[in-house]
Amino acid sequence: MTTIDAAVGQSDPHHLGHDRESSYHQHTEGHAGGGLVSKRIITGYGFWIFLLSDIIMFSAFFAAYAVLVGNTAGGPTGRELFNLRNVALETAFLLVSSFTVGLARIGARAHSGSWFYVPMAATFMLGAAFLTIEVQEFAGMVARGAGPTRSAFLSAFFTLVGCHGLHITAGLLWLLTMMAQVFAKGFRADILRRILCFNLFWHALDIVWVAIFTVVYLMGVAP
Amino acid sequence: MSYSEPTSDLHRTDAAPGDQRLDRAEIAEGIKSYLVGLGLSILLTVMSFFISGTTLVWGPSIPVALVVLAIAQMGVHLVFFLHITTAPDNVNNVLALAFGVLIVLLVLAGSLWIMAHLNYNMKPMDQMMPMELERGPGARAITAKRVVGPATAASVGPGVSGVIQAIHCNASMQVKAGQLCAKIDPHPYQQVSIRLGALANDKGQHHPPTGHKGHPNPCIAISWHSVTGQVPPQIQQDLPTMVGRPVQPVTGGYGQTGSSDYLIKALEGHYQIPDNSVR
Repeated sequence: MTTIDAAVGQSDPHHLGHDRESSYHQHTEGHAGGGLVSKRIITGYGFWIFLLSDIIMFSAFFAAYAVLVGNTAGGPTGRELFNLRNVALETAFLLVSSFTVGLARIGARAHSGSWFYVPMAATFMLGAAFLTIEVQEFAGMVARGAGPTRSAFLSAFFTLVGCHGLHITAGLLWLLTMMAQVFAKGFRADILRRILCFNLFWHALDIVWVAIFTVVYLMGVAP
Repeated sequence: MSYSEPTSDLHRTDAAPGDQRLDRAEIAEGIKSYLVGLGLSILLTVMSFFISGTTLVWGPSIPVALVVLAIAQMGVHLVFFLHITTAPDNVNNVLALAFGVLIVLLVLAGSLWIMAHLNYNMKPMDQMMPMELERGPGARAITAKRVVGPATAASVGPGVSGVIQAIHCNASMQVKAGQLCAKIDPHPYQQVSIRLGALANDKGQHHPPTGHKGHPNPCIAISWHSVTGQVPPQIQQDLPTMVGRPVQPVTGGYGQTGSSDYLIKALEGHYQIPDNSVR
């Protein structure tokens, strides 16, 4: 690194220089410039890539559902099976839980115990309520003979929505783990990184749910 | 400041996905973004649920509207919940997101496009017809005109022209050689016969017309017989309408149409079309 580079780095409002010797950036992190990138950014970015690959997996399930939605094999269609009141409740629970999980992250950032625990507990309750409604819906469908083996449409439906439900279940377990870890270890840097990843995960699940309630439920019952 | 302190994000060159850029690490500041996102999401969700059940808009536009609302809500989530911005510190995150969206669109559009086209092409041929017939009413109306033709066709007609008096053959009736199918009005030929007879008498060469098998048959019947085989469809259709109409004779080994030679032969009695004249 030369002094010219350092000058460029200082006059570079978009931080394109990534000059670790710049006095302005005491803790700059470059890309190829040899700088250190904070662990928080590496972790977050890596988890971001994982989430995108997860969403690509969901897109394959969505494509399968869209292709098979008409193949009911004489069985019940979505219009006969779906209860939009339940879907609206599920959507509301998940949306508000996205809000509360954001509050929990802000609380964790501020190292505020109450601002972390209370929103996390609320998120858990909302997620559990969502899961309860979904499990009841699935159980009701199986009870009336509309299980995943009934038709290709129902196989695709249970795969897609069930996969999201499994993600929610895993998220709830992760949520409890994070609360326990904060309780046991406090707001350490590594714990905060995990809370950041959990936030990303939960928000991504809400985005997937937006696609599900639109494509599966609302389009399924639309006239 | 340490690398892992979230509050040190302010002067970093990059931001972790989901990290908020706050001028002051205040709880109220952070909540504001989430509140805006929550409000917008609720608005878009309510609109989606309303539009899906409404009859106020044109039916086919509902799925389009739902998709647009869903994409808008995903955008709201990305901006206000995940804090994905267009700022330079988010370039890496946005690029990864753009690549993910590209793959998602390729998977969705490619799958739907290909499967929609293969759905019909990959059906076995022997299942094509039953599958088509299983469609519900009004799914697709197919109108087709079918023409059923005979394996072989034979021209059958009267040897002389005249007005048909009676029809004895019906459509799709099995007929045999020599069977009477139609009768032509003999009256004009009786006139000719009388005149010819008078001419012969005048010349002293009386040669009375003889009937079939040599029997004397002054009463001349000019008939039209069929040959063995199925009456051709065009004849079948024409038969009922031929009564009372003049018909043209079929040319065969009996001379030219309308020639006196031909007429005299025909006047001799039942006129039978030989097999070799109609093939």
